[in-house]
Amino acid sequence: MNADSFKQSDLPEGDLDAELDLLLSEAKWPEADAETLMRLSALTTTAMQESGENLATTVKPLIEVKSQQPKRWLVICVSIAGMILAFLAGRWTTPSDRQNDIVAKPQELNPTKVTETTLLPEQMAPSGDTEDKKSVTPFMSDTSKEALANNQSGKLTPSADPVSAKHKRLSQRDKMKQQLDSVLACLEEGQKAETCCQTLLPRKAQFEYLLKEIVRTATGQRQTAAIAAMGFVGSDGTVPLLLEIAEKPDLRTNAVQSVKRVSSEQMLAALVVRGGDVATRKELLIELAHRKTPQAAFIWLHLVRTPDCRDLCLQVVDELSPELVDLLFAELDAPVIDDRIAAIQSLGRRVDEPTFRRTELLCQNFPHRWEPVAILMWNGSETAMGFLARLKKNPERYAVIQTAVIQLKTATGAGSGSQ
Amino acid sequence: MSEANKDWENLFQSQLPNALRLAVKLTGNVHDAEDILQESLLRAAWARETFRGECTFRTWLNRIIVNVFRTWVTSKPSVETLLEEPMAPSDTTDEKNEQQARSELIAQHVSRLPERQREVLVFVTYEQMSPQDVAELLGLTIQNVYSNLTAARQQLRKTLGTLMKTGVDQ
Repeated sequence: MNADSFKQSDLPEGDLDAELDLLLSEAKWPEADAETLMRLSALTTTAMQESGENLATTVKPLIEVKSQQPKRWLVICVSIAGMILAFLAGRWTTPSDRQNDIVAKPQELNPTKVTETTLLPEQMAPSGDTEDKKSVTPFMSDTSKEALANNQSGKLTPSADPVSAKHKRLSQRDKMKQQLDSVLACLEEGQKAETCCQTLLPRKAQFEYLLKEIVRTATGQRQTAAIAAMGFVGSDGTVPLLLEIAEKPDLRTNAVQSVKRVSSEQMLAALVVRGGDVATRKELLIELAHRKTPQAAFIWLHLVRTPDCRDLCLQVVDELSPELVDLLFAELDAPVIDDRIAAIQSLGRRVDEPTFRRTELLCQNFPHRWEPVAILMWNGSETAMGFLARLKKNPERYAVIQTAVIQLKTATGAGSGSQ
Repeated sequence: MSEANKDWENLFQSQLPNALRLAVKLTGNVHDAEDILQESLLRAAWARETFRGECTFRTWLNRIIVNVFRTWVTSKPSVETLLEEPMAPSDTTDEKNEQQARSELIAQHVSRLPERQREVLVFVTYEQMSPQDVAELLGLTIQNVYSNLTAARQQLRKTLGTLMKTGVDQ
């Protein structure tokens, strides 16, 4: 059996274990940044200070392991029972209730007064004077007495408040705001967005929302920093706001940069087609040309086919990323002739040596394909025309060259772009 | 702040990085780890007088972190964990990036093990604790620790099968 085709079942357990251990040792979790540690450190200091002042025995250790569920339920049950008892005790100590009880059973207390109270119904209402209280208190527990005393004097039982520190804990939103503030401060210091904004990426959508507010309301450096940060974490949804900001001359550069970063390929195309400032459209096209996805190539071809955008596209073809150039070469096989023509026009306008050499090779390796020939025709440079002149001398290539000429004429109404 | 308080604070501060790393391994991400550690630190600060020195301070703090983590797991919507499937390593020619993606993928798989298996694996494999100590820390029997550890490793063999050189039956 080939060693490469070993299966798990064929191997001794020890080998698999060793391999798994090796894999596990490679595991790498995301590392917390210094800010997170600082936040936790500050929280520790605060908690230590607060707990140091109030460290009574009020807080239980909470370190019993939670798998001991029955104990926890026991604690909950006891707590509930305690609360019910406390409630009942409270009811018992309410003066009016207590008095009603006394009056309801007058015989037990003072038989001589019974006739008086029953004969005089208006005195049955609780009077709340001290004499009544004296008559009540002997029946009360110590706790109830204390509660009653406190209730009457308006005092509250002093107790340590272990939960207060939890209120000090930052809410999620506050934490995010703090994080955002530190990122903006970093950007205001002139550092790159790539360096400062990494921490925002896991919660892009939430930060985008907060940043929109800041971009709208802030001014000066903070606003500029927020625009830059938005370029890092924003989505297509932020484009309208950024375009609005781009109308201010002092913020235009930053805003357009951010638009370029946040926009998807479709959004870039839509902004180019929408028209407007030529310089901005060109910048957006260059951004599209720098993208590397098949989607970008598809949209690029679409824009080249659009009459209003073609010239602008052909002006920036030298900005096409190598990946996009590869994709455009692949589009020479596209089933739709318009796509092939758009790819030919884009590649033909590039003046770089590698594109030319690659086209030349295609001409040599695929002598019956007219597309590479059309690229050279559209290019129209001296080198390209020299190569075509050599091709024309070969009678076998005559048909291919004529096809290329006809296809270009049909597509553009002219022989070639530069001829 | 009193001298004793200062000592306590120094002790807590010295354990912060370790505690944070543990929380990240348990939760799989820094943000949740921070939340858990915040809660744990508050609890620990208030309960510090109950630390009797019967175990190391680190173990004591780890136990609190595990308790908070368990509460967090039960309160976290399970749908979220279902949606966050580990991503396959991206196709990249850059060897360094590929290695990093692979390391992150392994970490993601560990952080998606069932809660108890994850705890046991993290403490045994990454905190270098003996199964006996882990059993005591997690409030489990030693047999339970071993069975969770075995289950975790079997699960990882399946999920990380593609990364194992020898290949596995998927």
